[in-house]
Amino acid sequence: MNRAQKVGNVGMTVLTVIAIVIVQGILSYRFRVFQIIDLPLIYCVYYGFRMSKPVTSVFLGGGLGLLQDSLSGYALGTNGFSKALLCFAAASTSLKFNVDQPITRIFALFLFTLADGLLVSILGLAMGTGGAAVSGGRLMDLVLSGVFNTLLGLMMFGFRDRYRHAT
Amino acid sequence: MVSIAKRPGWIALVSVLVFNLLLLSLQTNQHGSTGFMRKWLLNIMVPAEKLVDGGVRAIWSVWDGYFALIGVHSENQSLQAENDQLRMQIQRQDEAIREAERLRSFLGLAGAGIGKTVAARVIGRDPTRSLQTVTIDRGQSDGVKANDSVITPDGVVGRVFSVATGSAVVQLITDAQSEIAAMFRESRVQALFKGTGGRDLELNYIDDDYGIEVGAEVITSGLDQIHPKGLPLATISIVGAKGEHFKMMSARPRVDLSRLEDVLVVIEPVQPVVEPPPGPSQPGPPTNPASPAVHSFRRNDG
Repeated sequence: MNRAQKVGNVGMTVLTVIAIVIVQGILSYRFRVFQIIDLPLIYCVYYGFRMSKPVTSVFLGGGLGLLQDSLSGYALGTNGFSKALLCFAAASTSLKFNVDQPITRIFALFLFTLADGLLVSILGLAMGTGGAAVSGGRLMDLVLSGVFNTLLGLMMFGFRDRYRHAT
Repeated sequence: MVSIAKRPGWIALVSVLVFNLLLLSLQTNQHGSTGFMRKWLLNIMVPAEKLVDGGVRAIWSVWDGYFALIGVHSENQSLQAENDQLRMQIQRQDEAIREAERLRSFLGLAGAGIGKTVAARVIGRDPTRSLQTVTIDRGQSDGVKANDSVITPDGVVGRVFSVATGSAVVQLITDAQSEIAAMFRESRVQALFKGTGGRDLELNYIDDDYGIEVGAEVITSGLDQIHPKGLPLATISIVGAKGEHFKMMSARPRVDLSRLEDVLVVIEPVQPVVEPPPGPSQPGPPTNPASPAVHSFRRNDG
């Protein structure tokens, strides 16, 4: 891969990251169901599994999280911390496990959603900006979010597999 | 033993995590102000968000203008009938308003206005799952500041949480971290309502004796020094027992926060008039037995 291609790829990834955060914000505003779906998290897992590069995944996750924080009421760095960690975990998982198996993807998407919710809640509570996401109804929301994220993530992986087999 | 230089992934991870923790720790003392980095990120993100939102609105307006007009004729007729009724009601209330204005000027109180406002458009919602914030297209350049009250003609929406040059993030009243000083319109009992993170507000531990029931109107009390006094806030939807002598209440906000389109930001609220204490030579105004601020609220988060 020459230099121009590399710069092009980086630019494309940055634009994708910005687009995902904006689309998440606008869809959440228009459609209630998107308030429980976390597109940036799905993209983190997707990118980590697809690229299997822990270093770039960490920076992608961190950037994605910071952009999310800037448009939300969270302290800057809350989602940055969580997404960087989870993106790294996704990339590391793809190096050790076969992430082409649907069962691995289901487990990963669901558990990463729970882990993200808990991490963000703990950091939010520590900073005094987060809700009480670790108890009661909020925990149910988190589980529901895990289910929706898993379904949407599986669809994304499905498209990717189809595209890969076609080419 | 594997050298740390052979683990670039771990080095990158630790660096990014430490960077985020440093960012977090820098914000611990920044309550009420918008940090330069957030402002910088908002200034990058919001123009792009406005652009995409403009496109979505254009598609929406085509839908609204052409495809969603089925049944408009009958709706128009019923709205016209409702309009006639409302006009008659307004005429009846006009006289009451004039009388109130006469009394207000007689007592030397400030106007009933809420102050200087700026109209803003909602262009996005919180891109994280658990908080309730919206992004508006007005910011510092329009006079918007952190902690400004955000309202609609129906009632209170929230407060400005962070502000950039041409945009701001608004924390909705239903956000789990939101608290708002309020009072009941009829009984004038004061209370502190808290967001639940869902669709409602809640009030824990209110004295049983106040006799507040489902349907009671809640308005802002102005004591939080964010929202002007007297704005409609919510309607009590659930009243339940909490302990032996207390009740808990759930209230549904007057504004449908899931369908926010346009809002008003109160950038210069009318300052409340401080009444001088009545002296022996200058008797104060006659005391109203139903006067506000005589009740205290009780709240216990534990």
